[in-house]
Amino acid sequence: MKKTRAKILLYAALVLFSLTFMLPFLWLLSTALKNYKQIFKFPPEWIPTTTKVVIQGEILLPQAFYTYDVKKAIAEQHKKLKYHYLRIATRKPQIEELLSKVSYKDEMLTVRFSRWTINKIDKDKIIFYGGDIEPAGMEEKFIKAGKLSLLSSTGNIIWIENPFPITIRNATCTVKRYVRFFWENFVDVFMELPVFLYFIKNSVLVTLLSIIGTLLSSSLVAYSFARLRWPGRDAIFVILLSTMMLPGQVTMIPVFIIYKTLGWVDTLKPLWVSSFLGNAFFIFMLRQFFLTLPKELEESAVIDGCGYFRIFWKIMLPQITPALITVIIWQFMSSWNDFMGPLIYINTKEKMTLPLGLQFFHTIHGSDYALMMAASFMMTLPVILVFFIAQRYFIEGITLTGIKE
Amino acid sequence: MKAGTKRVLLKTICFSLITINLSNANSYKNTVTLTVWGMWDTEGDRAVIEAFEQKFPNIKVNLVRIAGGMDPQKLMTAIAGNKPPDVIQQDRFSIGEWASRDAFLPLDELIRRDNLKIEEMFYSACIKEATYEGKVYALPRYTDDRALYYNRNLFREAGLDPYKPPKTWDELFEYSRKLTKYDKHGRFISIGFIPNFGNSWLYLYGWQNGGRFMSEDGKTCLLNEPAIVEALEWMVSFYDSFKGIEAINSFSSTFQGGQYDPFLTGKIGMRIDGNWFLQHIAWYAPDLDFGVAPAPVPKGRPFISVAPAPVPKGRPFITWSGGFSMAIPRGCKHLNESWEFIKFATSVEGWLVYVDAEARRAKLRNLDYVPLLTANSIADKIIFEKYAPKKKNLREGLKVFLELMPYSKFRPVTPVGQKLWDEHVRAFELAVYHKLSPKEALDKGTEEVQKQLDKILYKPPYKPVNWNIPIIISSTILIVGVILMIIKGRNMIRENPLLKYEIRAGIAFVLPWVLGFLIFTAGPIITSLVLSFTDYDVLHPPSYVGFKNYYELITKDILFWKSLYNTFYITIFSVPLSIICGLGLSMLLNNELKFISLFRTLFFLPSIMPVVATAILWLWILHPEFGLINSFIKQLNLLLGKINILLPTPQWLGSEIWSKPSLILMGLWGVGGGVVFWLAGLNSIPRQLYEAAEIDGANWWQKFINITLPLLTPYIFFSIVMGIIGSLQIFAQAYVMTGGGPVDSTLFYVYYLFNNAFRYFRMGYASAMAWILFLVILVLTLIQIKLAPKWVHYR
Repeated sequence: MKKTRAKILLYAALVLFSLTFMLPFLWLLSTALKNYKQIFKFPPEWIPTTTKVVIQGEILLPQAFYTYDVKKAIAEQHKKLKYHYLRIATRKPQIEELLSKVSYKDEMLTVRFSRWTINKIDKDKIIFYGGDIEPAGMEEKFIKAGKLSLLSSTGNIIWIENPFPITIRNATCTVKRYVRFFWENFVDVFMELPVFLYFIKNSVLVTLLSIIGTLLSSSLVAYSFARLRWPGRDAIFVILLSTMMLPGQVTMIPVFIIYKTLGWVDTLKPLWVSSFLGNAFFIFMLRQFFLTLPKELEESAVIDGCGYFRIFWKIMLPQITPALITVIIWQFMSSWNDFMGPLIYINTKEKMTLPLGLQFFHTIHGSDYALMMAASFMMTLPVILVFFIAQRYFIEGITLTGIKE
Repeated sequence: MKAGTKRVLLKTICFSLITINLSNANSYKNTVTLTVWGMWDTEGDRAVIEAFEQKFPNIKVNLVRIAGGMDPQKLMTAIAGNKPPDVIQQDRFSIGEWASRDAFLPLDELIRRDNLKIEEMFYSACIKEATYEGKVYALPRYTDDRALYYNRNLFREAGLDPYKPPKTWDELFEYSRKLTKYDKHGRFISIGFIPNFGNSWLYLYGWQNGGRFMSEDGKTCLLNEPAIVEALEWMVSFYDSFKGIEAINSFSSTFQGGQYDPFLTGKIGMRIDGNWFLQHIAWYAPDLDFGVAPAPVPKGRPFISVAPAPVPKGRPFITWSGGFSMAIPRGCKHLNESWEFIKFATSVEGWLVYVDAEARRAKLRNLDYVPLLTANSIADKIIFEKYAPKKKNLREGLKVFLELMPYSKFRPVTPVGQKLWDEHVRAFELAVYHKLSPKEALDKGTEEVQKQLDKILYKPPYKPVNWNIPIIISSTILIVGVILMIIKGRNMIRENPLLKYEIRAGIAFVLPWVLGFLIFTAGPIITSLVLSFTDYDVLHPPSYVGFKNYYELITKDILFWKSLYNTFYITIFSVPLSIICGLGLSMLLNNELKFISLFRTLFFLPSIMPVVATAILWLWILHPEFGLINSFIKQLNLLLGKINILLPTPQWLGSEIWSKPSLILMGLWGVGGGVVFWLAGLNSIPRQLYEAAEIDGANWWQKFINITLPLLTPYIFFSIVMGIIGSLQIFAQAYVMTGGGPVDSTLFYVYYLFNNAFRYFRMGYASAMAWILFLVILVLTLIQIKLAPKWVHYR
């Protein structure tokens, strides 16, 4: 009896705590998937919703709408806008993709939508999706006025140059709320900041090179410390250990001077080149692993006249695969999340890595929380994936980092 | 094919290849590509670039948008790394700073050569701001100025004459009183005026009151002269009369942008802001009934006619300008081409191209175009004629801004421009948060700026660093070490000749790390130690100053101690808390329940999230109005309000007291990271001990105190040591989330170090800071190690 009661209590505590811990994550996802208008609401809403506004009545479109020549319109716009800085419609603008301001007389009944809302126009009704109507409760007034005007957006997308005034006679209007995840926020991150792709590419490049460099160099050096006898080995190992205690800031400035003399400022090189020269922490850890391997493996190889490099490459390395995977994972996390390195060395935005890029993004679009959360999530996703795939090795690695020494 | 045809074909191919190469080579030789930083990627700028490229077909312009916006750090590292841009569009007020460090090239020769009439072309404020010690270092491009916007509708509602804006400080205060409305809880519904909302800064009020901020000869900082103290006192009393800065901040944190801007939605009745806000109104609320007037001045305002810009009698109203100019950094490889570009971009011709493109773009989006203010006074007149908006409100507003320009002040040109700005903001915050009286706050700021100024003006004679000493010492150690190795090696080989190959392999394999250690660790350690005894700004060679840096840090630098305090504050709370929470959590997770590994994973996840992403997420969660935590508290208050309890909703990162606890809270989210470590520790305790205790009748608590804790002490020890080392180096949170504020409450040690190195060009000083940090870590760790035997049980 007592045991089951204890069990239930434990489960309850676990569930409670894990929910509390997961709350920020869930909030991240929730915000990333919301329409930007829904973000600043009190009380806060967790589930992304959108509104569907259906206006029914007799719809009269101007003749111009039916005779609108897409190709001609595009040509005109290209002529007027020489730099193609603004994206231009490439097909007949459906009322679908417009951000609309619905107004009547002098007052504004604003229907706000997310950037990529789908609307439909049928024979007898117009449907808008997304967002909110405000001021709330204005539907009545709108119905009486019965006039609807669709204007081009104030964003970076131009669909049509002039508004097509639409008249609806005998209009009725209904508003419904329902759940909708705004996956387009993720696409928006790339739309608002196309250079985000570069961030990803640079992060991947630097991380990959760092992993290769670290694996090769750290394992080689660790093997030398663990299994080969040479003068000064133990003294130099103590030096290696003591470097782990040094705060990075002590060497930060002279290292910067070195890289600047080499002309590597504003390149990615400072971020991965040093990984080919070994990493004290990993060398330490791999040395411990090498020490646990039986000596017989080597001895038989030596008797067979095998060179030391071949012993290392063909025999020792495969034996410690779990440790190597741990190194890969830890180096991945360290490179992927590194912020200070790129901060010091990278200036141009095409060369930025994700952490710096995300912060740069934040300085421009900081108040657009939906975009920021979406970008943050995309940056975190690879780390979470890698973790799930390699959980076991991850945990083993931590356990074996020299508490026993 | 026939042999003859083949030959002809071959000849044709060769010939064409050669000519193509030649022509390519020719165009390659003549085409110059300019790298331009700091221009914005707008329709107007692109039009200017294209027009320029048409005019000068052999010059191509490459527009680069730099990271971090106007962060001086990037430009500095670029110039230091010998990869400067050819042209930089830089905020004018910092030109003096860069000029004093020879980072920009003086343009007077070129101005004389091309007979450029800069006095006629540019407003005096603009050209003077780009002049340092008599030389012009940049051509001014953009400018702006500030005036008072007021909402005529709200005036009418409050019974004020909508065509009589306030002219004096007293009137401003009275009008604001009438326009401010509170709800039944005493919170703001709308506010009349907030002195530092929009864009005015203490500079405006200081100048209006006759202050100067800097002496004419540029040698004395006058941030604390009586006129400016008065102005700051007025600002503070204004805030206090409307419930104080915290209440006002709480209200202003609900402000949003775009069409929900508070001025457009009637939440604020008057604001002093720049001319750019006209465009904002034109976009989002073009029919708003508003007016623009010069900013109100103190009654009986003294007329001063000293630099920066004279104010003729009868014109009490002033404004101040800032804006961007184009400069050419030292090390630019294409001086003539860069000069042609900046001439073009700041000329009437260039501006007309710009404005035309921007106007067309606005028209396509059905928006009213409000032309910006340029530094070129001739261009401004033409632009106003052609492009001024038709709507009366906007047109008249623009006129006010234009007419104020010739009488505009500008921030003092000084090598400590950035520092002066930072200190003036700091003084404002200290005063308005009532940490210090206005006079004390300004005195402090003045002292700091003066210190910097003195250092630059009265530079101690350059003493070259004697690099021989450290080089000789370190080479000797190295050589001795190598000799010892060789001797030992010989001994080893003598005992066992087969070892020769092993030794060779061993050393060869270790070489990568040894090389890395020498180049990137040992060398830098010595260099940084030497640098800590110098003054080094990266652009000039280091100059030996002895222990001055250390002395100054410890005795004169208040921020040094503040940053240490902040860092220790975080460490003292977060290290024990994370150990307690981590251990507690792990004990919970140390049970053989189903799905336990799922739970373990969930708790672990937050710790692997990248710091920047975590920072941004928590910025959102800790948002004072809409963040998760405060929303939760507010909802709780709705319930608790019934029993008359009201929990406070702190401003979190915006509050001086709560900023550090916010970061501690954020850190606690990652305690799951240690779970694996603690689980290993818990599982290393043999079960028999627990079973024996149970037989003796011990309960859960007794088992914990007498068995678990003592046997976990090695793990706790490790956690404490590593925790302290890590916590003392906290950086990213300050950089991304708070910028060190508010009022330096989150100025952490490494962040301050970083600023000194890469923002204020004080690398020697920063190196000294790094060594002090190392010493602190060393001492703390040694203390731990010494104390360890007293409480750590090893088995």
